Amino acid sequence: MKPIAGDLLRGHVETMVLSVLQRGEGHGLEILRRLEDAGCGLLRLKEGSLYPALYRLEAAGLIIARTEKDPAGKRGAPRRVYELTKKGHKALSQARNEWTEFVRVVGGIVGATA
Amino acid sequence: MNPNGINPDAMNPEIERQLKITVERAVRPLKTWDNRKYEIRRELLGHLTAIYQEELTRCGDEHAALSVARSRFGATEELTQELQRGVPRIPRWAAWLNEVFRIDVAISPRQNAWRWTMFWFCELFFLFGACDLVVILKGMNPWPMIVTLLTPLVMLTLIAYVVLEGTFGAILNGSEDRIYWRIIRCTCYKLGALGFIYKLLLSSQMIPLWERFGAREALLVVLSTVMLPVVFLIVMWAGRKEFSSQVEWARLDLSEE
Repeated sequence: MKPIAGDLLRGHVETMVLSVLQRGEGHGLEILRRLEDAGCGLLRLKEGSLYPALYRLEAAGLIIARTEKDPAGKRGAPRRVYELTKKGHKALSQARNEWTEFVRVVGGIVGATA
Repeated sequence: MNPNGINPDAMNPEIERQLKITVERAVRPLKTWDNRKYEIRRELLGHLTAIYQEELTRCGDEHAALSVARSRFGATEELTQELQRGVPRIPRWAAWLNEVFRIDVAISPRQNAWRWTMFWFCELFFLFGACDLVVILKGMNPWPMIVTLLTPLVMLTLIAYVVLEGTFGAILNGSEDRIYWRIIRCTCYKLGALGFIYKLLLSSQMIPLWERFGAREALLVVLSTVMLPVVFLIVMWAGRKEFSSQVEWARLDLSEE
């Protein structure tokens, strides 16, 4: 199967991030690993592109970030750990409903045989 | 240690610089607050460093690991666009104003201190001129006592700003050999410019300072003068890490491969 990347992912990254954050808080790299694991190796996300999505979600109040004071055994700058807010939980639930509806309608058309 | 004898946690300074250049290519063109840019830099650098170390552990070759880490990170131009799209309107406008009026501490490496000072002088001249015009057009008569009390404070604040800007401007200019001369020169030019503007305001009778200058005002001036170096030192001390880090980022040459 061909990897899913670029335009196919555009517009879905934010919902996917909300979804993996529902399992628990995490920093950028951790979120990315969860996404890759959930995508069974077929998701090809440019890693830098995760951050604009995180910042947009943060600006919208769907996630909040706190700075991890002492990242265990890691050198360099302290990491920011992201967590879903109440508003984020609601937005995720709404996005899931919309997605289910989208798959039902579009899947019915695309998946239909002649 | 990996099988090739490289310790991924002991970062080669040249590789570290290359990672910073990659991050800076994405962040420098952003139009937002400087503090926000600083946070983004730190977070992106943390991520890029982590993937570089992952690749180094895997392949054991520093240059190959750097190349793969950059490729995994993605194109910096696209990242800039994506990041810019998420910047709210107010910081975007503030960054635009900052560019137009160069309120920033940064002085471009090609700009000499004289031209930089003239530019700053013109800015202040028009700014004060605009205030003057508004007051004249509205036929207002500012309450002399308030003006008298506030004037020394405003002037000292401006001078503090000038000294700060001159200092960091000189640091960012990267001329360590004559840095102190540059600071003194910048400061003198600017103080001269301020004096000229002040004189203009006095002659237009906007600031009737000498009519109401009593013991109370003199005490205020003395206290403000004593406070100035204290405040200056506190600001320098509190922001020393961020200032030096910003200088480090500003000095990165992005044209390098």
